Amino acid sequence: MAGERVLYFDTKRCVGCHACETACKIENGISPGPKWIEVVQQVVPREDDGWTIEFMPLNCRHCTNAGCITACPAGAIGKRGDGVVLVNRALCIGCGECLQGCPFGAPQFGPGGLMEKCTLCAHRPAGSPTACEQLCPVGAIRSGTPQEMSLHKRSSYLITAIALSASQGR
Amino acid sequence: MKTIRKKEHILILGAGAAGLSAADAIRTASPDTPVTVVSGEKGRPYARMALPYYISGKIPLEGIMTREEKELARQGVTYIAGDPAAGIDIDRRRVVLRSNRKLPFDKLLIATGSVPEYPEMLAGTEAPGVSHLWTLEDARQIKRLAHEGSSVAVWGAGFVSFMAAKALAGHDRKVHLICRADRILRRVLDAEAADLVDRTLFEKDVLCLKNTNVEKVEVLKGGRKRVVLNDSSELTVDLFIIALGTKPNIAFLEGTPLAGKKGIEVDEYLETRIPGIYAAGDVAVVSDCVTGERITPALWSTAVMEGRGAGLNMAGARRRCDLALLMNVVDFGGYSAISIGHPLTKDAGAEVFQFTREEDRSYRRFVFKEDRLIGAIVVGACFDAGFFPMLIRRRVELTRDQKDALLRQPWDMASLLMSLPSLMQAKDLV
Amino acid sequence: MISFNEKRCVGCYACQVVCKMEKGFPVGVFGITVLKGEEADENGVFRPVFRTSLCRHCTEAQCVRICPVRAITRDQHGMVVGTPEKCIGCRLCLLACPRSVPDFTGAQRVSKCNGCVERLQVGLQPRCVASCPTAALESVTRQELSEKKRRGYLEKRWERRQGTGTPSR
Repeated sequence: MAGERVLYFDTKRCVGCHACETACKIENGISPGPKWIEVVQQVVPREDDGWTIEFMPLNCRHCTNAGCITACPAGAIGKRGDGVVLVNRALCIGCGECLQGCPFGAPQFGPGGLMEKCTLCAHRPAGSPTACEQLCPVGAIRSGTPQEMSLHKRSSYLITAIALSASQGR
Repeated sequence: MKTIRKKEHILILGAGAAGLSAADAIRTASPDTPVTVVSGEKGRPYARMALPYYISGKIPLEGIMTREEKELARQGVTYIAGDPAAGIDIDRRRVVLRSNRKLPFDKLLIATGSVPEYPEMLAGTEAPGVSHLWTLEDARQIKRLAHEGSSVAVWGAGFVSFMAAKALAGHDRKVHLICRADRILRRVLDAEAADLVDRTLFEKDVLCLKNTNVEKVEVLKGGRKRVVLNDSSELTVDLFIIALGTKPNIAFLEGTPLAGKKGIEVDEYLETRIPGIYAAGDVAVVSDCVTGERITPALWSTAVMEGRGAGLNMAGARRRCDLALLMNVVDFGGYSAISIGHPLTKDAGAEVFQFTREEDRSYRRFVFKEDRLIGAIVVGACFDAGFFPMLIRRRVELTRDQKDALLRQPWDMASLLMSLPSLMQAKDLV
Repeated sequence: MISFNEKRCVGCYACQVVCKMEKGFPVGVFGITVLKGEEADENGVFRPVFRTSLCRHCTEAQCVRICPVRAITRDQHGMVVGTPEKCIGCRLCLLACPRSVPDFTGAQRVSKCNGCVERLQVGLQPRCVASCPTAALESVTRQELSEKKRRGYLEKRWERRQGTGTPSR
């Protein structure tokens, strides 16, 4: 859907500082164990036979056809109007079927035994940035609709293009 | 979840399904709130629903007890037994018990359940062996009097009378079920299902007298009872059990704004019109999740759900829990008849589908309205019956194809229902 | 919990059989049930799909809450277990369970999966898991499963990008 909010990552920018994980834990008061967002590093080969490290964040993707929603027998998971997939903890029975239905392993289970996961900081007023986005020191995380993301990418491309042509003296 | 301030005293009237579920819920949400549970009956709390099974000897007396005193103490719940509430002083926020003991409260849950109707014509025939099957005391008396080879008459053809008749069947006892209507369990089963149940009852030596009513009951010398029926025939029995329905137990609220005609009116959080006073279980008037009608379902399952919801709300949550699903099960050991929702609706727009399988006496009736399942009767094979309450309660809208697929294999819907994406419609997201 | 990977299941019913042998459930009652269904792919060709009906030992187990005689309880290992001797056969657990798991077919009393606690304690896998020839069933904690799926997703992603090496944390 056009207006659905997503979390966008610039894996080229991420330096693996795990600030987003901390920000998320503090913002949402998550108990030890579950990680709503988790950044993992990966060694990838470069074209010139060298190696480089890339970081990949793992969190709920707020899918359009979310597997967790279909899997939940208690009807506790649903999609909000702005595309955010949320779990109603009053209805959750903690059966773990959402985890079976999720290809990303996003649903987490803390000591309380009920499902918890990224809410795209749904408790914040509409339009405000998420905690991870706010705290990311390199601006690798952005939340917004795909249009906003597209606009952001286009403008950053333009900036790079202009900078590049300037440096080459054209 | 917000927890309430310490030392806010919660009083629960009634130690049945609703009362104890509420106490449990308050304990999980707020471990240090003082909670007092008042039971009108003596002794430990027990499950009224299980009384027929105690009479039939399927489980021992210990088996129907829902809490041990030790356990209540460990939970930090003060338990007062054998002292029913006699009145309530709303302005001074306290409840007066029958012993004139006064209990103050900050928050009150009324979960006093229901009491059986006692027909006026039976006035004067109080004697051992003429009783309801309602309290543990009744059950003990019935168990004592129902010796081998005795004869029993059960007046009424609802859930309790059915359970009583079934519990007493066997052991050479002659059991008569006196049924005013033309079939048993008229409110929950249709004619086909009732017929199957009837056949099974008959095999268990329960004789169902249909279209029959009791004219007069006399206690004979020696303790037997003569029951005169409206077709002028007579039955002489050792035990006469009355089960003509129940009404909410709210006599002690007489004169307060809480007492309504049907029961205690509550909002969607089970709070009454007086802030801080809640009601749950058989006394609370809640909404039917299919029709939206205001009803007092008087069922174990709804009482548990409401009790829990009211408990959480009293402990500071804000959880909507006033939608009740009607659900009745009668069982004969391995064989059962389950009625969920409104299978007997008179609604003109409802589509009815019936399926019969003779070899194992299975029968199913599904009632759809506008592609939503609104009622089901499942007799016999029942392993996928657990899906139907969910379909009905959540008012799941099926597509034409899904509905057709389900009805193509009416005896095994489990695999289809497990993969039905539209089952999942979460509301009230947090 | 016992995780079920429907892509791997071939519908051999081994889990169903060994579970019954292990637990000695009455005739007609199964602790785990494999359900066969069919599904059309994009070309309209049908293929079989398998699902399992097994107890998830839910945190907020509805069956435990509704049982009037406490015949279904949570034991000290966190498993939801049934005590047939206490059961009155009222079937409320069946109607309360969103997956219709407690099985009463032809039986008077509840018989259900106890998560094979006795096997777990001596370091064995639950019987159904141990018997599964295609490893469609796995015995994992929920956090382990999440970890596993996250790792699986990353590996797949890296494979697609033709990278090598494994993700580390």
